[in-house]
Amino acid sequence: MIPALPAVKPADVLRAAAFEWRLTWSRSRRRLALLLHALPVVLSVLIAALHAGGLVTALGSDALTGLVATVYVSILIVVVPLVFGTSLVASEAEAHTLVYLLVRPLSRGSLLLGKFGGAWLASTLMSCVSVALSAAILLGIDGFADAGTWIGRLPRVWAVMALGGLAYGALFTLVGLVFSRPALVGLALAFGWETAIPFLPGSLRLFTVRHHLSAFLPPDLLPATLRAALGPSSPAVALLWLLGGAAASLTIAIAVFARRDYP
Amino acid sequence: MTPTIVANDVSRWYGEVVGLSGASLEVHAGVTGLLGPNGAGKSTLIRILSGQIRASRGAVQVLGRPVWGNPDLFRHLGYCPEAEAIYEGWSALEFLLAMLGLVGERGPDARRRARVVLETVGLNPDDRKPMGAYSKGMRQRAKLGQALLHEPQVLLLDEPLNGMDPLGRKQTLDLIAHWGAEGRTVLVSSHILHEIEAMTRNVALLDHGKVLAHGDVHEIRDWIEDRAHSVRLRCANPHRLAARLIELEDVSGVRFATDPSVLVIETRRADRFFERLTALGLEPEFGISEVLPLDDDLQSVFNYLVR
Repeated sequence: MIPALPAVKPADVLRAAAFEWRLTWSRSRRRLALLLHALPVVLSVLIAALHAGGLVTALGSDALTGLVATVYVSILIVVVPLVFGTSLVASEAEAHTLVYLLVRPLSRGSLLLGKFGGAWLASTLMSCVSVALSAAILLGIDGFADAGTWIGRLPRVWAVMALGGLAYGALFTLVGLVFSRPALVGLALAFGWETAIPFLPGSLRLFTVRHHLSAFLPPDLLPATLRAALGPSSPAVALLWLLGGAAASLTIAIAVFARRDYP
Repeated sequence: MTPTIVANDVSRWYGEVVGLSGASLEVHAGVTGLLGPNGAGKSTLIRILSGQIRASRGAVQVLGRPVWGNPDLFRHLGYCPEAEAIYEGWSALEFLLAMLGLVGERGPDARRRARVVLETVGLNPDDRKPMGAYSKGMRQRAKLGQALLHEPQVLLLDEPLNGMDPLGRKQTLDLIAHWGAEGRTVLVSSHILHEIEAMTRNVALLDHGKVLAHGDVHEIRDWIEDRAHSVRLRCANPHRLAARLIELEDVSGVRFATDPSVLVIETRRADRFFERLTALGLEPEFGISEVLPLDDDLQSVFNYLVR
């Protein structure tokens, strides 16, 4: 018999999300998240400085395209959820602070879902701000000549960052609950399985997040290695796969969390 | 009177390590001290009672309800863990506000409540220092504060006095006694008897995962001193030894065990008996080869606690 999942109450989920949001911005937690999101911005500043010095001649729009393709949708989109997903419960269990949450009148399902939601919202916000800052810096190189084009593209990049955070975050939350070395397993998934898309036969690639995310991006914003390998995919189907995958991962994660002892 | 907390034949194993072994306990309103040496199983029992871990066998109930998978119970239950864990980046006020937020309490009322609790446990609500910079005693106070936030009917406090300075100890002892007097059920663990005696006379003695005794601390003390002690003796000539022992005024009973070379002696004056036994052991006609006190556990636990 499959034991019932703990009840999930929307109000409790929101409270737990607010808690995680607050925790993400606390002094001890915000450093790593801000550092990760600041790196591409720093890179943009560097490119702008090199451009001003005459050492780089690329157009700002091209530089931004390259930055989005190689840093945001290749690395940051997976590394940030890897960090927040695998540590969502594990970091609190290791620090022995999880106990304070488990003795509140919230089901473990509500708690996990809320913590995930709060962390995902915070990381999505940081990603969007980071992309916007990078865009402002790089498009500013040419006096915002290509700003019109990017006004249409930026929301798509933001949406992909949000969807990627959701799908990867849910997957890595599950990894964080199931494996004793979640970071290693997460890295293997992120930079092994996910980057092996061009070599995966037939429909196996449907079981990668990256394949579905590519449906929302124009080809020039995809990493070069994937551009040729990915076939056409409908955004609606891709959205269903991503949301379904996230829901399945979180459901299993809740089932695991609800049964686990935290001595 | 219905007990607030009931643990019935509770066992818990961590792999091959036994944390609790058939512990049974009933706790009523007021303060109850859970006493035992380090590793006795106090924290394991409290973790089971607070729903952190499940019992491998047996059952626990708090306020007549099972604990595991019953989050609504935590509206009435507060828990202060033994681990020195706190959210390092938050001040104590931020910590308590975050805990209140988890139960939907926000705004000025929540802030007022958090400030009152911080003052109650002896922390300054206006201190914005992150708890990572707190002393151990201050962390203990913050931990105690989170357990009290919702004014629970049942409080489980695991070694709450650890690391506190003398003034903090005194204040906390007074607080715990006060909560008990208010009619709350407070189960507080410690491995130091005089700490518990300062809060309550009602104690449960725990050792090797079992509840050895439960009741008034002075009655337990008297009981331990008055009760018969059993000692197992292996010897070459049990009948002759039995005849000699039964003449001694310190010996209240002698019986033969299944093993024909073994005698079980009961004495109410263990100290005098062992003095005499030492002399008898030197007499070759009895051939005493083994002396094994059968019920030293309780005595040794108590000796440990009162030393």
